[in-house]
Amino acid sequence: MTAASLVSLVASAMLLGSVYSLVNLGVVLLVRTTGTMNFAQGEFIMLGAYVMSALGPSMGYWPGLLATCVVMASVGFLGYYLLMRFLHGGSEFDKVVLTFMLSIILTQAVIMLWGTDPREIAPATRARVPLLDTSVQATTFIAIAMTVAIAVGLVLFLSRSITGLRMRALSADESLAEYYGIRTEVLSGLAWAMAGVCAAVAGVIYAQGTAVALTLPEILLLAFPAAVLGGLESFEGAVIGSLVVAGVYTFTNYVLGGQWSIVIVYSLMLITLMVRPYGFFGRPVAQRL
Amino acid sequence: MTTTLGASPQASQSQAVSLDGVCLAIGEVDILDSVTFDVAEGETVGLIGANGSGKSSILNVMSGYYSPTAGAVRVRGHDVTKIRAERVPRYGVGRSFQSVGAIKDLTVRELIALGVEPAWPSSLVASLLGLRAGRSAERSALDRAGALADEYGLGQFIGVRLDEAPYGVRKMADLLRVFVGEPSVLLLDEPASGVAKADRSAIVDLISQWRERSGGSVVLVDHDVAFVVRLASRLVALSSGRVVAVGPVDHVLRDDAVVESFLGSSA
Repeated sequence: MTAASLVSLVASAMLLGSVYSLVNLGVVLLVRTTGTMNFAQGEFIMLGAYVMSALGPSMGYWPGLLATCVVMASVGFLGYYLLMRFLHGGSEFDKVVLTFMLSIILTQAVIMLWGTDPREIAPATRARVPLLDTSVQATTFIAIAMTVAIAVGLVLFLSRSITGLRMRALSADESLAEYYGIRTEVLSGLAWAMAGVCAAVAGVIYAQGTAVALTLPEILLLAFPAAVLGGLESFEGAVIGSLVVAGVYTFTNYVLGGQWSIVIVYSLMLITLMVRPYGFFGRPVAQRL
Repeated sequence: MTTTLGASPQASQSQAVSLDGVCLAIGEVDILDSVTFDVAEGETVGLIGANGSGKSSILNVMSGYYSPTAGAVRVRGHDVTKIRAERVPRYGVGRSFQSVGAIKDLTVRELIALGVEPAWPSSLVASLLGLRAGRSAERSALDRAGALADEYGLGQFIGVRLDEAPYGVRKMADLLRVFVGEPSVLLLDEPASGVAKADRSAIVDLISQWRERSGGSVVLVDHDVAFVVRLASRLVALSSGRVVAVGPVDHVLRDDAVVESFLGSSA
């Protein structure tokens, strides 16, 4: 392998790792704050990409991205307020089933609004940054920077702010948080809005390298092993797990071919579930008998 | 049964809390049956009774977690019967919980800060946008939590994570979480259960200090009658969801119905 192809592979892995990180940050955020495993996160990502494909051409990339984040935050909040809210205090299973329902609603909304033909998102820039004997697209570095900013922002928000503190209490025990006078519905809606923003950025970064299409939600299935690897309740785990999984995908794809990469990543997830069911950064849950 | 038993000597004083004919049924099971009693301003009332007699259910009704099937709960004249649990603290009601195990990954100071009532929605917006107002509200909540911990002698534990703090400290931190919200009525559910003897005295001191400083009222539930009578001036004795006696501590503990239903015939 030449230095140039190694640089290209690392850049691809970092870009994919950023996308997976953003996908999983949204997933982990909702698991940590509302105890919901959101299987509609893939559809949120798809919707974010479609919204950007509609707003980007007229508004420009950055204003379009900002507007997309606002739209997706609103969709996240409304998804909670109009649907998930009614399972307040309900079982995790019920919530998961409802997120599947939400995913169907979002897909149908996209088809009704934009049809089934693929669309595209023009990247922020087509510039390339020279590196060793080759060059890397500037958008790769932009994607990495945005992912780092969102991950650090989320960690600081939850660990340092009083609202984040209340969200952590909410995640530990919804009923107890309510007893404490914490406005659990407002905070849950906020968590869903923030997950919407993660999805918007993930969708835009991912789709600008491929296409805006109804197959985009598959990204959740590709990124999910990373969340399991890191532990579903850890932001650090989500990011590190995503980078590891993206690296394994990219390199096995290069060495063995695409048909093997997904088998290897899912095998990695199964082995993790067997030896450390709570992931490498999660903590075991003790059950009082 | 309505309580003509041991009428409140403070009946003429202003009432901090009053329960009037409160009934509660969950499914087919009757949990509370016409529970009526008052708590005067500044008074501490202890609820005693065997397991399953309805002590904690009364607190659950008073704090909005259960909606009674009949009757009314008033706090300083406001009807809070149908108010949701998360809104009840706004009426000056603070509640501690029997279990303090659920929330583990916070520090003692963070737990206490959870009791600071936020100025919604401005603090939320400011906090999200990282505005100065949000940052200062956050600092002030944590500062107040730290100052209160110092004031009540828990200063050395403020940075300790709850799952690493001694159990007695966790129980005391949960009390301070309630105190920091400046309630006028405290509902305390087994504040000393599972706590070592020395820490039980510390908890009695903590509650006594709060009463002296705030002049507030307390409704206290504990399975240990000896603990309850260290703080309460009046008792409400319950059996199978009914009030069997209300009155001064000595009076209730000598009441035949109480001796028979709760303390046992040999007591």
